[in-house]
Amino acid sequence: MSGLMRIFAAICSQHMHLSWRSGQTMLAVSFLFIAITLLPFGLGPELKLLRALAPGLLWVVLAISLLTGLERLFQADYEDGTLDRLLLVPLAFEAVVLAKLLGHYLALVLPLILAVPLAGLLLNIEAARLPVLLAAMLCGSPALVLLGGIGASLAVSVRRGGLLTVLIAMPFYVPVLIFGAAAGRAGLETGVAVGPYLGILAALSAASLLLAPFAIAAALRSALR
Amino acid sequence: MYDIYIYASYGVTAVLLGGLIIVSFRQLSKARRQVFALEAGELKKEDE
Amino acid sequence: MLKALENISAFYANPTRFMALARQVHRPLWALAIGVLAYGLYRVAYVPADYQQGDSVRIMFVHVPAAWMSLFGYSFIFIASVTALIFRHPLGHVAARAAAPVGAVFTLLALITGSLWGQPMWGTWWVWDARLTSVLVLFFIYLGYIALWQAIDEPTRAARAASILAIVGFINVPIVKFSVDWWNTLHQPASVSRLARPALHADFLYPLLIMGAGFLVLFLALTLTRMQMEVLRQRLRARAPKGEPPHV
Repeated sequence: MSGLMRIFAAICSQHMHLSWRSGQTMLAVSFLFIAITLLPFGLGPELKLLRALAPGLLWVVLAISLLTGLERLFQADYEDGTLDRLLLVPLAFEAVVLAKLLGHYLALVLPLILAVPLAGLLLNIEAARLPVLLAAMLCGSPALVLLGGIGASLAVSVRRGGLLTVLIAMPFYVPVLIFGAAAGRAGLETGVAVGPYLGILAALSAASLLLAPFAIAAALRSALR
Repeated sequence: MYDIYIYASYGVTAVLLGGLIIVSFRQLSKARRQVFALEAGELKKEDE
Repeated sequence: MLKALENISAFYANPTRFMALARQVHRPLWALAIGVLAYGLYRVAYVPADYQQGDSVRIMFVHVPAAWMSLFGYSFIFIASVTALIFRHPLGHVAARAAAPVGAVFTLLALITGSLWGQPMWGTWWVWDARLTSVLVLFFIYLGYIALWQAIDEPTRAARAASILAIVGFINVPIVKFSVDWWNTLHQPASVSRLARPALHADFLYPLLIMGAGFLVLFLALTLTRMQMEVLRQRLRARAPKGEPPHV
C-alpha cells in the first residue's frame, strides 16, 4: 500500500470512527424505522396496499434518512478547522473528499441499506423478493451520497444548513428515486427483468462519481477561503 | 365556458409579474437612495 | 483610506461601466417589453377559438411562453455563472443572482397556468404529466439556488457556491427531464392529452411567438433592473463598516 493510499484510508477510517462514536449511525437507522412505523398509521394497516407501495416508500425513506445524516458530513470538520488541515494533506483535495464520502457511506449508508430488508418485511414484502430491492439500493445509493454531498458542501458554511442541504439535494435525487423505485417494483413481479434498471442506477452512480468530487471539493475550497 | 380559467390565467400572470416588477423597482430605488446617502455621508466626513 | 478606495474602485471598475450603460438601456428596454407584450395581447384577443379546446386555448399564450422562459432563465443563470467563474467577471454573478427570482416567477407561472389549463381539459387541477412534473422539479432547483444565495452572508463565498450549484444543476436538468419522461410513459399510457399539439396553425403560432418575444424582453428588462439593484447593494455591503451589514 503506497503512502497516498494510506492517507486515503486513514481519512476514511477516521470519518467512520467519528460517525460511529457520535451515535450518528444509531440515529439514522432509528430514524428509518420510525418513519416506516409511522407509514401504516397514515396509510392504514392493509397489507396488500403496503406491499404495493413498499418499494417507493422505502426509497423515499432511505433518501430522507440519508439526507438528515448528510448535514454533518463536512460541517463538524469545517467548524473545528479540520478541513483547513486536510487541504494541506499531500493528496488531491478531490481524493480527500472521496475518502470522507466513502467513510460516510460505510459508516452510515451501508447500515441503513442493511436495515431496509427488515423494514421491507414490516411492509409485507416477501423475503424472496428482497434481494432485488437490496441490489437496487446498493447500485443507486452511491449516487445519493455523492449528490447529497454536493448539497452538504455548498451549505457547509451556513449555520443551520440542514434544510438548505435537503432543498438543494432533492432535485438531484429525482432520477435515482424514479429508477430505484421502478427496480423495486419490477422485483415484486415475476418475470420482469430488473437488469436494465440496475444498470441505469449504476450508471447514475458512476456519473455522480465522476462529477461530484470535483463540485464538492470546489464548494469546500470556496467556503474555506 | 372556459372564461373563468382564461381570466384566472391572465390574472395570475398579471399579479405575479406585476408584483415582481413592483418589488424590483422598489428595491432598486431603495438601494439607490441608500448608496446616495452613504456617499453623501462619506463626502461630509472627508470635509471635516 | 485612499488605498481602500483604490481597491474598491479597481474592483468595481466594470460594474461602474455597466451601471452607466444600464442607465441608458434601461428605459428603452422596458418600453420595448411593454410594446411587444401589448401587441401580443392584442393579437391574442383576435385568435379564433380552437375547434377542439375552444377558448381555453388562449391560456396557451401565457403558459407556453412562461415555460420557455423557465428554461431560458436557468440557461441564462448557467451561462452567467460559467462566465463569472472562467473569466472572473464579477458581473456574471450579479446577472445570475438577478435573474434567479425572475426565472422562478416564470416557472411558477408556467405551473399555475398549466394547472388552470388542465382543470377544464383533464378535469383535475394537477396531473403528474411529464412536462408539468419536470417543470415542478425545475422550480425546486430555482428555489434551492435562491435559498443558497440568501443563506451565505459573505458575498464572494455565496457567489462561488451559487455558481457551482448553477452549473451542477444545469447538468441535472436534462437527466431529470429524461427520467421523468420515462417514468411518465411507464405509468400513464399516452391517452392523456398533451398541452401543445405537434403542428400549430399560423393563427395560433404567430401570436404565440410574439408573446414569447414579449416575455423574453420582459425577462431581460426585469433582470437588468435587478442587476442594477444588486450592484448597488454590493456597493453598500463593501462600504459598510464591518460587523454591521446594512439592512437591505
